[in-house]
Amino acid sequence: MDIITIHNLKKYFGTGSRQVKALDGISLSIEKGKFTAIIGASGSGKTTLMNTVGGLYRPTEGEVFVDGIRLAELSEEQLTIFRRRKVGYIFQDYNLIPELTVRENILFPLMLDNSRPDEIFFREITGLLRLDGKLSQFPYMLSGGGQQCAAIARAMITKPSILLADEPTGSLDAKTSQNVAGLLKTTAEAFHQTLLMITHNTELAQLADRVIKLQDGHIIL
Amino acid sequence: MKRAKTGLFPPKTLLSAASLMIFSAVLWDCLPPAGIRAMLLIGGIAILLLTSFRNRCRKKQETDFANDVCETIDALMSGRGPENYIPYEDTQISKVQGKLLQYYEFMQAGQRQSRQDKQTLQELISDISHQVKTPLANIRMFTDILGQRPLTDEKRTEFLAAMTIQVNKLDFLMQSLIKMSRLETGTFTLHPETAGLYHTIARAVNGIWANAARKDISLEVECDSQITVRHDTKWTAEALGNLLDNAVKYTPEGGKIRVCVRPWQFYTRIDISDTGIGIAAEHYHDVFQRFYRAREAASVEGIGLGLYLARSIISLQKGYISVQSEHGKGSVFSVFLPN
Amino acid sequence: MEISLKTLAARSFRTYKIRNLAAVLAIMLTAILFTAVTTIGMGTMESLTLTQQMAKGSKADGDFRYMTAEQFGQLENAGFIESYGLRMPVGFLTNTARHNIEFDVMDETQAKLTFCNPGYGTVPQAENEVVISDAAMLDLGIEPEIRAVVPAEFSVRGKTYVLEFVVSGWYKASSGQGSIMWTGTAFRDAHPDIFRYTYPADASPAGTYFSDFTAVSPRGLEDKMKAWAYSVGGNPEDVNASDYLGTAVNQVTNAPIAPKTMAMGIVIVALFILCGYLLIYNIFDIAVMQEIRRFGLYRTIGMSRKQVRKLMNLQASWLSCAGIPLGLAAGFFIGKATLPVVMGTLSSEYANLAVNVSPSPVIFFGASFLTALTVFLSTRKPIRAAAGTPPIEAFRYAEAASGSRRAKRRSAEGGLPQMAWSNLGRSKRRSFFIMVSLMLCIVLLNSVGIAAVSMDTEKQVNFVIRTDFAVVNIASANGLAGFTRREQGLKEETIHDISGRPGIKNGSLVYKNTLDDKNVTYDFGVRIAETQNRPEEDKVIGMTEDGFFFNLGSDGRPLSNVYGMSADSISRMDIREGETDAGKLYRRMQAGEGVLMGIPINRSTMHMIEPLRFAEVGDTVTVYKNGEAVMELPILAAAAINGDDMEIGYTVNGTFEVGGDGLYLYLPYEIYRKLYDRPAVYKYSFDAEADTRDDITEFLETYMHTSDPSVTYMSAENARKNAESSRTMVAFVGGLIGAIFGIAGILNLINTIVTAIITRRHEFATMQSIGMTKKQLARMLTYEGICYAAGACILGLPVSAVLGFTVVRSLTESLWYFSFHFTLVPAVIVCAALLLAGACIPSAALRLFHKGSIVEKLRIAE
Repeated sequence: MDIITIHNLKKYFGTGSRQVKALDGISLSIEKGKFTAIIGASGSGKTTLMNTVGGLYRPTEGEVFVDGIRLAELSEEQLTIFRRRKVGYIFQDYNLIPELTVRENILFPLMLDNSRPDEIFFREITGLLRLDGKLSQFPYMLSGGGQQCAAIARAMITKPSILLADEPTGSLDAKTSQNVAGLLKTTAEAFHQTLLMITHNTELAQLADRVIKLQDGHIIL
Repeated sequence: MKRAKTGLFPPKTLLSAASLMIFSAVLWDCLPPAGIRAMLLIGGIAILLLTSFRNRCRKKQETDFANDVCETIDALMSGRGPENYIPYEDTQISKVQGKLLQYYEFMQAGQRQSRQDKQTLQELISDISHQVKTPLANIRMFTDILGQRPLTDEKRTEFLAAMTIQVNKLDFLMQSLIKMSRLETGTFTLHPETAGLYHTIARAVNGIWANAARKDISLEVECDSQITVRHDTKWTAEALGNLLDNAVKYTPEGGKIRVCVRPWQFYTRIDISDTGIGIAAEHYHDVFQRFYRAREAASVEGIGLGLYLARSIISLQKGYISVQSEHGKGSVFSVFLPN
Repeated sequence: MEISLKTLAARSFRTYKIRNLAAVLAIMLTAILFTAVTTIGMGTMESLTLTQQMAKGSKADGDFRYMTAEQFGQLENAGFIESYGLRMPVGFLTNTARHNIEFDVMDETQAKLTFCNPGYGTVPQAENEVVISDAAMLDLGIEPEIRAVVPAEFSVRGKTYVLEFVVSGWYKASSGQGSIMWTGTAFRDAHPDIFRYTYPADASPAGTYFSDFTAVSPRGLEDKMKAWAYSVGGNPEDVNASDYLGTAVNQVTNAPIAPKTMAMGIVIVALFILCGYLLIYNIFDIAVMQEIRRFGLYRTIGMSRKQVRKLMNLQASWLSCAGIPLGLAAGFFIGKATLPVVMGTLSSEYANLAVNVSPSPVIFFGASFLTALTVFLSTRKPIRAAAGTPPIEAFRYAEAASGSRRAKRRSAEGGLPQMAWSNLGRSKRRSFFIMVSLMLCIVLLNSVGIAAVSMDTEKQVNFVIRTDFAVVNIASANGLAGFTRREQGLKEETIHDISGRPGIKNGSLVYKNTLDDKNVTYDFGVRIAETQNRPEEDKVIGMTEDGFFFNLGSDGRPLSNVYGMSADSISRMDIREGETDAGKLYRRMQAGEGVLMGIPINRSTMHMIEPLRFAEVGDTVTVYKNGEAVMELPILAAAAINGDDMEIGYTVNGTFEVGGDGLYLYLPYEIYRKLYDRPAVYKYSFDAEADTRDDITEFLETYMHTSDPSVTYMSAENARKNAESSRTMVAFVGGLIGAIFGIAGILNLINTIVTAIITRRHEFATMQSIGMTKKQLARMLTYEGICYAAGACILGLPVSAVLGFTVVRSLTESLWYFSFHFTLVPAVIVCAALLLAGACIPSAALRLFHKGSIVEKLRIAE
């Protein structure tokens, strides 16, 4: 079952001579529940692709379907809710809110939706990600790996169908990278989530069920 | 579950009553006394009316919401999509509908998985019956031969040896089958305990030591005896054994196999490296699939279940296996067990 | 532990302490502006109203007269009356010297309303106890103290009463002319013969009931009063009816607000809103810009626009909750402190000012509301920008100002000044904004400067007095009183004492007719259409068809305002038509050939007020004495008369009371003495040698306090000082407002520069890492600061000029004591100051905020 379907996606920035063709005709489908890695050199369009899937960019041409719904049909407000409920974002530089504790950071997306946190799930996730004991600390007190784990927990707390991770191990050292990547994989599997991860690390990429390679806005095999 | 209490005097009522009083206080000068009485009376009645109206609206909202939810569930139960569903709206009903759909898909996926499992089981049965046919036929042939004609002792020993091999093969098949079915249906449980990893590795190594020695492959184990990991010793040893077995199988004579244990922050990493034929990068994923056998391995005995089993065991313990290899030079299988 | 938007708002709030402080200060400043100005405005109105009420003698909303006892009793049921007093007039004391003492029966409510509540002692209880004023006691020759014995003589219905009273309490008189002595109802009960109700027969007020009252609401009062009068059987319309019930609304208490004042009020409010808006908007705008990445993150994770707005609104309301109360308190005290200054400058037009301001909820609600409104308006746009932040901003790693998608091609050639200028071009909107807010300061201060410079003090002085000194009765100095009675004339002794002083030259007496000279009247051809009898005021008014009135003498002809002048006095006047040679004119008048007519001058245009020209040069005025024509005086010349010619200063009430709207006639001493039997001198005016002026001033001061307290003096020096102080006030208030705008502008500038430094940290670090020295960086920023200031100046100077010639000029031309005088000096000075600020602020800010090594700065940016 495909959760994401992309038809001939093109994304151009700017006009005329200064136009940048970030994505130049991409078609692919991503299977539900699988771990897909996207690799490619800088400027190959990986982030643009992921951002388009997450509804942050509107395609210049082409269609993006998520769970059968065409993203272009959704209004800006709906896309915001889409990102809140359906998608979990993990950034390269964690992007935790410095004034909130780890627990508050994790529960943040739930608060936006006025939802009550599922305490059992919360404990499960934080246990898996080795965050118990650090819940009442502030982000600056944690190591890089710890912060990224907190960010992963935040991305997962709404039980989204899709996890989008943009170079989640980019700011971490090799060992922590492997740890974090492994955790991402196992937790996504445990909760049947589709994981889409951008990385330039081929070693991590082969943890994935499928690897997509981009170059100059195209998929290459 | 904590529910918000709507007390007898919700804050908005108090607020409106208070503002009414302030209002009349401010305009005191302009109101003749009779007017004040009238205003207070009217004000009181107005507040009561407003509050009861609001309560009624609130109740209606609740009922509507519940009905919408029930409608959605009904629709899903009969297999069609909910009619009034607008995806990703900032409303509570949209939130609930989204979740219900998620649950529905989850159930569907489960159903699909069951169907797929059934199918796989069918395929498995046919595969196994297929696989079993050959050794059985051989055994029949040998028993026939042994039963019918007189044979020399030498020949008889030869045939018996050949039969033994087939029997062993059958045995091996049965064992694997049982293991796999148990894994698939989850009728066995892992018993993770905090135990010394060294011991587990030793068990695994013991299993293949003889085979390795036969091919003159050197075995090296680097593991701190103090390292303990929470794992099921029996099954993990089995998984590691499978990996080692593969390593032995696919490493030519005089090769080297090395087991190295490194504890990491979140995982304990066990590297099993060999100097074997290696695996091409595009097959990294494939090697862990059921009954997969690389072309180069055609000559070697095996069913293609070893790595699949190993991965299942490690996955059930919330760990994972990854592989790094260079075709022709060797492979490193890394087992990650969570700390 | 649940978190909510509120928690998030609170936590992120605390991290930006300096910015919060700046916002609170900005809000405080706005609140201060509103509160201070409202306090001053309301205080001024309150004080003026009170003063006028005291002069009138009552602060009630209205009063009833000539009621019967039953009618008085009905007041209890009048729904529109809040509280009312009891007054039963008896009569005026006849044993007084100069001070009029009215004797009434009153109750405490009435006493309070008419300002005769005893400040010392108690209200009268026994029938022989009275409350009296200090001036009254002094006039009767008694020391003001409790338990003093007061002899009283008065007559009611022809019968004379001589009684002795004991002072139970006394109060300070507000007027030297007259005051009230009152006693309680015990006296009424003890003397039933005085208080017999005989009004229908003899229109005697004794025995009738009067009442001053306060109304529940001032709206429609006159109609309510009339309706009530009818309902109790009285007739409020016909003065001569036997059941006449007088109704009068106190115009002073319920004076309507002039539309001009209202318009000015609205303009000031709008101005302050603008000032507050500029400041607060800038702070929030920059705050949003600084945190744009955070907002992008919120939006990516799924915060809707409404939620972002709620977040920011929460923070804005917390800031307001801190800033508004502080601003209200500070503003009130500032307003209270500056009120006396403002009132002081108005005292040139009013004497005996009472200064009072009470904290009224109207001020606080109004100012809070206006400040909250300003905060609301100024945060709308920044909040909308924050709410609409595209979530992609979370992915931008380098700090970029909004709009950086279009990377501007900035040339590094041309050196630092060019770079600085193009840096301003990065956010054209904000740069323009800052320049506008600085420009407002320039324009305002320049306009105020023009107004201050255009204040023509000499013109004011010349209107008010023509000589160096003039000595008059204190009544003339009271704008609401004036010289009306013979007894107010200057005493011979006083004149003798003063004229004997060294240094005095050209001393002249000026005679004037009074209400006691009703036997001398003038006929100058004007037709009286209607007459009105006002016995309480001892006047008979004649009105022309055009609505002008003239006070009529005993024979029904106008009294006019007639003056007896010396040759010197005449020579000082502004004779415009007819015989313009003063000397010749005087001689001809002495020979009885004619008279000089005066026509009041329009102070703005300096032309004579044509509608008040009741006769022409060449017309003849017939003088009647005791009903018989005694002289025929042709009008030889016409002069444009100013305040000094009419009475003194701005006092017009004296001439109004005596002659009404006209005619002003100036005669030589000889003729005047011939006509008037007991000529009264109302003014002694003289010049003085320059070096003796101080001595004379000192002498006059002492004299009027010790030897003759009935006189006062006016000097050209004082008049000049008053004019100057008005000018000072204009400069002060205008300067204050301009300074506030200036502060707002400078704060905006500081805010922008500091934020630029913080936001462009990465960029600066990069530049420094490739070779720009700290000094060059400082120089570039200094150029940027100067650019802002220069932009403001370039905008400000022409706008000041245009505004000066248009708006300011029309304002000054509408006020007579201004003569428009253009100047750009204040604008230039302010420009210089701004340029200086623009040059200094960047280097100071750089030193404070741009710390740390280059590597550190580059790192932080990532």
